[in-house]
Amino acid sequence: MPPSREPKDVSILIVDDEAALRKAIVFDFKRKGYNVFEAANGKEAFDVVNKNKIDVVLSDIRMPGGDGVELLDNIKAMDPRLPVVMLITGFADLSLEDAYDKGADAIFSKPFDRKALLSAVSNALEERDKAWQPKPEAERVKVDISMQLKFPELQQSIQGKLLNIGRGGIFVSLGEKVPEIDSVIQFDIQFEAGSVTRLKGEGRVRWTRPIETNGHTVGCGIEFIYLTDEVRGKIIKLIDELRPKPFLPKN
Amino acid sequence: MPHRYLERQLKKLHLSAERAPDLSGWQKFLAMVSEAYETFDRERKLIERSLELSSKEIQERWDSMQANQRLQNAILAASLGAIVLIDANGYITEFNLAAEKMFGYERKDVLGASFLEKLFPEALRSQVTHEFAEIMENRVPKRIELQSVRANGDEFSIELSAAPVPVEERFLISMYIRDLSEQKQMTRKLEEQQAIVVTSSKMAALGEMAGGIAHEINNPLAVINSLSSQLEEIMQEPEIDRELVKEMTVEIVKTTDRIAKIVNGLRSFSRDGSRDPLVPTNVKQVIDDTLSLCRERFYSSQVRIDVSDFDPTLVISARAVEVSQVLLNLLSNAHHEIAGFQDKWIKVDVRKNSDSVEVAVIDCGPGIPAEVQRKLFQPFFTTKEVGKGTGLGLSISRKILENHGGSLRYETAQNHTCFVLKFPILEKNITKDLSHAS
Repeated sequence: MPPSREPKDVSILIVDDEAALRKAIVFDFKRKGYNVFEAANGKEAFDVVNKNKIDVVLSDIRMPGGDGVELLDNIKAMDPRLPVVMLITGFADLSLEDAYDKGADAIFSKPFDRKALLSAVSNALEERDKAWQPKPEAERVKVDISMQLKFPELQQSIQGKLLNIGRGGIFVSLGEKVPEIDSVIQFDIQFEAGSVTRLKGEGRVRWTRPIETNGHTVGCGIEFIYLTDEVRGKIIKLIDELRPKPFLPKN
Repeated sequence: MPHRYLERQLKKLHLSAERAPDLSGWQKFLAMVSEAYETFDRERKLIERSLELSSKEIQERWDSMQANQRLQNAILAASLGAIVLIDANGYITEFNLAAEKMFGYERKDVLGASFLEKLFPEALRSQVTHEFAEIMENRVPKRIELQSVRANGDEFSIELSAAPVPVEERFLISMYIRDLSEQKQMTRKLEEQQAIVVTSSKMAALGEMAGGIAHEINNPLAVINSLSSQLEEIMQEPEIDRELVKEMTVEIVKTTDRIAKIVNGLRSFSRDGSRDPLVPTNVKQVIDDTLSLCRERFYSSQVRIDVSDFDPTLVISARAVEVSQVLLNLLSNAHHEIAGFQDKWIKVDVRKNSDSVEVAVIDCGPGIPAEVQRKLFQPFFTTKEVGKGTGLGLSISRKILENHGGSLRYETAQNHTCFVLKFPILEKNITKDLSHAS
C-alpha cells in the first residue's frame, strides 16, 4: 500500500468567482503546505486542469463564464478519478443527489466549516483502502441508526436498480422511511449469493429520495466512512471493475 | 231621399189610378225609389265600414295591452333587482321574484300588506315614512341607502330607488331595490382576490430571484465565516501578523455591508406596500435596491446591466416598494426574453423632463411584435410557457404606475424592447434640492 502523499506533493485547484472567498480558501490550503492554483470560472479552471497536474479540484457552482456543473462534467469525463469538491450556495443550484451522481466527491454548502473542508480534501486524497479502514476509537463518529438489509445477488440487485455502488458510496433502496441527511448509519447488507455476500460498515447519508420519483425507488445515498476488513478489499476491487463514475450513484 | 216624400208620391199615383195610368209618373217614382235605396245602401256601407274599423282598433288595442302586460310581467320576473310597487297608502301591489328571494316572503303573502311593516325594522319606519312623504309631495324619484329587514329578521343594507308613477289620477310608487350586503361582500371578495393575485405575482418574481439571493447572501457569509475562523486560529499563534489581521477584519466589515444591502432590498420587497403613502423617493436608491436583488442572477447568466448617469438626488413621489416591484418585474421579463442572445444587455435609463421623470428599462431584444404589443397589458396574457408566467406582471405594473399618477408604456427604442415608467415630476423637491445645495 503506497503511503499517503504529503501536502507539498499535492496540487489543488480552487475555483470561485468570489475573489474574497477564493483568497480565504487559498490562504488555508497554502498554510497547510499544498500547492495551490486558482481560477475565477469554469473555463479558466478546465484550462488549468489540462495544463497542470492537479490532484484535487474545489469549485463553486454558480459562476459566470462556464459554471461549476459544466466543469464537474468535463473533469469527470476526462478523469473520473480526479476528486472534485463542490461548493454550493442556493437551493436552485443543483440537487445533492445529482451532484453526487455526477461524481462530486464532497459537497459543501456555503457558508461552510473550513476545517471540515480541509479534512474532506485530505480524505479525498487518501487511498481508499486506508480511508475506509475502521477508525480508532477516538475518531469514531456517533452512529445514529443501524440498518440490516437483504438483497438478491449483487449484480442482479444493481440491474434491478435496488442498489448501486459508486466510487465513494452506495445507493440503497428502502422500504418506506428514509433516514435524515447527514445521519450516520451502521449498515449490514447481505446478498443471497455471489462473490460478495456481505457489506458491513458505516456511512453517512448524503442525499435521500423520500418518495418515488420518475420511477426511481425510495432510498438514500450513503457515503462510506469505513468498511469492515473482510469486505473492504473485495469492494474496492469490485468498484475498480465496475469503474463507476458517480461518487454516490442515483440508482 | 226621405221616405215620407216617396209615400206622398205613391199616394198621388194611387189616387189617380182610375184614370189612365200615368206611366211617366210611375217611371219617375221608380227612379226615386231606386235613388232612395242607393242612398240607404251607401250609408249602410259607411256605417258597416266604420264599425269594422272600430272593432279592429279595439282588437289591436287589446292585443297591445296584453303584450304590455306580458312584457311588464317578464320585466318584473327577470329583474335581478327586487321590484316592489306600493299604492299611495303604502300597501304593496306588486312584489317580483327577486323581491321574494331578497326578503324571503312569498308574493301572495305580502300583496296588500303594509310595506313599512313588512320590509323595514321598527326603528326605521318613521324615517322611511318621512322619505316617502317627500317623494309623493315633490313627485320626483329618489335613491336612498337604508337598513332593511328580511322575513327571518336579518337586517341588511339596501339601495332603494323610488319613483312616483301616475296611474288614473292616482299615484303609485315603484321601488327598485338592490341588496348592498351582497355587493359589499362581492367587493370585499374581489379586493381579497386582487390582493392575492398581486402577492402571488410578487412571490413569483421573488421566487425567480430566490436562488440568486441565496447565492448572494451565502457567498459573503462564507467569506465572513472563513475569515473569522481563520482569525481565531491566527490569534492563538505566538506571533501575530498585525497587517494580516487588519486586512482580514477590513474584508469582514466590507462583506457584512454587502449582506446588509441585500437584506435592505429584500425587506422592502417582502411587505405589501400598496397602502404606503406616496412619499418623496430617491430614484437612484430604488434602482440600486432593486438591482441588488438581481445583479447576481444577471451576472451569472452573463447579462450586462447598465444604469445611465443621472442626478443622484432626483426624487419622485412614490411608494418605493411598489416601484421596486415594477422594476424587478420588467428586469425579470427582460432577463427571460433575452436568454438566447449572444451579447446580452439590459439598460436602465433615467430621464428628467419638464413635467415628468421617466425610467426606461431597455433590453437587447429586437422589440415586441405589433400583435403582441396590443395584448401586453392585458391581465393573464403571457408569452411564457405554461407555468412560467402568470400573465399578470405587466397589468399589475401598469395599475401601480397609474396609482402613482403616472403611466407604464411600451415603446421601441432604436429597434430594442423598451418599457417606460413615467412619474409626474415633484416640483417642490426640485426647489428644495436647490435650497439644500445653497
